[in-house]
Amino acid sequence: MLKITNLSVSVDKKKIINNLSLEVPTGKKVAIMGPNGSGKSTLSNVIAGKGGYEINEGEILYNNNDILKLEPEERAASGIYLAFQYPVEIPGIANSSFLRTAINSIRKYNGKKELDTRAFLEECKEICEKLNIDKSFLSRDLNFGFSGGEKKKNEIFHMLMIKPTLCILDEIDSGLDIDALKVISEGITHYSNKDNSMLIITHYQRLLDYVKPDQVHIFNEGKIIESGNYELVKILEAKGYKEFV
Amino acid sequence: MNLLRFWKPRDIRSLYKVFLQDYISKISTEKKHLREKYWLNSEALLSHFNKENIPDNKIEEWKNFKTGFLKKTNWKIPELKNKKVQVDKKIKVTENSLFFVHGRYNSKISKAGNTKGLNVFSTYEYFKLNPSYKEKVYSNPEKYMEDRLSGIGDKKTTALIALNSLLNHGTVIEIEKEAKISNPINIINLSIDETSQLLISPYIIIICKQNSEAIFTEKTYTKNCWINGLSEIYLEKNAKLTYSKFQASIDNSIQTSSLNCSLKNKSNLDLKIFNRENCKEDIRVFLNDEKASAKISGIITSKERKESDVYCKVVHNGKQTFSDQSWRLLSSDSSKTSVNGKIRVNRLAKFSAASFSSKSLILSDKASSFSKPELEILEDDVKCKHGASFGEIDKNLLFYMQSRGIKKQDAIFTLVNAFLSEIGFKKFDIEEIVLKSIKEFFNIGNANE
Ligand SMILES: Nc1ncnc2c1ncn2[C@@H]1O[C@H](COP(=O)(O)OP(=O)(O)OP(=O)(O)O)[C@@H](O)[C@H]1O
Ligand SMILES: [Mg+2]
Repeated sequence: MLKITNLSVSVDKKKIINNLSLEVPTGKKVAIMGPNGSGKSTLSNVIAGKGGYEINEGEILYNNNDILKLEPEERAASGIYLAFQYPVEIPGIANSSFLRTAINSIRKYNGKKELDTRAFLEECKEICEKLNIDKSFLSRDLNFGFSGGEKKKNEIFHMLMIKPTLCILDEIDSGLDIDALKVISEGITHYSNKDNSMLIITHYQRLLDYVKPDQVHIFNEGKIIESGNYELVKILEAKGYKEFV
Repeated sequence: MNLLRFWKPRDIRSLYKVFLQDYISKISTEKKHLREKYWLNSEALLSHFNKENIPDNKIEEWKNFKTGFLKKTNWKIPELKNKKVQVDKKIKVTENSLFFVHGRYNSKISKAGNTKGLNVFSTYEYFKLNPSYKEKVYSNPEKYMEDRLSGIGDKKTTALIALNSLLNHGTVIEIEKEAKISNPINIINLSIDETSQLLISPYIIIICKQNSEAIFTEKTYTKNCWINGLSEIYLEKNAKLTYSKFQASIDNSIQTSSLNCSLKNKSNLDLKIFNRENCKEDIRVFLNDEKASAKISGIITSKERKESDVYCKVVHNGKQTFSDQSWRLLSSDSSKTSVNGKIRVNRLAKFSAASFSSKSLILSDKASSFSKPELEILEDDVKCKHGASFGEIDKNLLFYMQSRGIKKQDAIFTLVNAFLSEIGFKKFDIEEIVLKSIKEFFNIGNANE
């Protein structure tokens, strides 16, 4: 599904992603762990199309198409979704109407009709219930005044509504309480299937205990320094990054 | 409803369709025309205008608005007829609609006959019935001249008021004592001219009598004109007025206008302004008696290489008077938006409070925005605060929205909408007038960088 080859990215001449190659196969969950500042969020942003980065070399293929020239909204329309490490607050725009606009915009790109408003709201309620999100969050301004954990839950709520094929989850577990982590993990696991893929960035074993990744990569200074399966998480948890860097 | 026969000033009628310059020189030489202006001191107005002429940016209040074009153009004075004109279907005509065509009240197409407590007069008729008002409501530019801190009264700022009054004797809209009119009264200015460049001089006097309440929405639709407007608002004791002044369309036109408001005891004014490109609004609010209060909020937008400028001065004369100014400015392309908010608290206006705040949003590297709050506090026991902020569209917000599938243009539009909505205009006004014009921004503007 996603194939990154020899990717180097810099900001203001500072190299952040360093000749990285990474593959996320269809139907798989791939985890990335790595110390603070190693470039994980930068990678997520580059895949999702954020501006301000200089792509020095390499390519990112998504379903065999080069996506580096696409606008973020075009990438979203083709099924890429980024759950932000730090979701932004947008006062003045209600959560549900934002989401509906987003979904309809994606549908328009793909030549589909607009969503029926009532069906949309029904589904919103259903998914909120599943994620244990209070319905009042639908009418509140987008992330405005949400607690850290509530913002993260809302990111997964959006994901389940938008139904992307490649989900990039950047530290979705940070800030979540124990119960919320469980609910969110169940949501992610339940959504995952043979046709979609997950790129899961985290610092903690707990999320991966629930989600059970197929592959685990350790990331440092903008590249992968170790790869393995779930066992690698345990070693890392026991010994820390110093063993690897 | 008291709708007196519309009075046509003879001096102008005999001269209509002439060029402004010819008219000015004609009345300057033939004193006869001046004599026919029975209720205001035309000679003073004329000599004032001849002396000061159209202001330029040497005058502090006009620093941010170019007037070269006004000086260079040979403007024509419009034909005056109170005849039925075709109103564009896009303009919503409701029960309380007062039409001003080329600056003159048009009773033929106006609809206000059934509203109790609302009366429209020519100034001539009004002053005949209310002689005492003649002294109060008097288009005397000196009344509005700028009081400099140095103690000098600056008359330069009022030359356009003189010009307006020379060309239009005004219409009085009166809200009767105790009348509470809950349906909005619409003032619709139509100045669409396809051929010549007209100078339009609307002059509206609004008098809200004791304990009255009313809501006005003034919308201006214009094309190929220079609108040089004057509005005077008088709130008597305990009167309450909400007044929205929106520039609905500005097609190849320029607007310079003065809005002067005088407030008596416990009266309350809620003023909402939408000032677009090529518009200059000069607002002066006088809180003359105890507990008078004014809330002024406004949206100032500009695009292309144009300017949109508001000068707003609030003068606290009475004790315990209150004022609050809040502005949102939006500039795209290479345009400029500006607001100069002046608060003057005169001696003896004890226990008063005044505030000014503005936020500017700049959509392109070449666009600019200026905000200048000024305080002149001559009394100790008062509370004043002011603040101004400037910013661009937050790239992180934009990326977040785009990454959810929303097109960049739509995302910018949504963020702009949210920014402007903070000002608290009615949703309908924002959508019908403000957002419509801003949608034009995104077709013409270079908001996509
Ligand atoms: N726009 C930028 N300008 C300057 N430096 C940047 C910019 N974006 C990222 N960096 C730097 O690049 C490095 C990688 O940042 P990134 O956010 O990708 O790290 P991360 O692996 O996600 O860390 P964390 O685990 O703390 O979230 C950091 O040193 C950061 O300071
Ligand atoms: Mg990060």
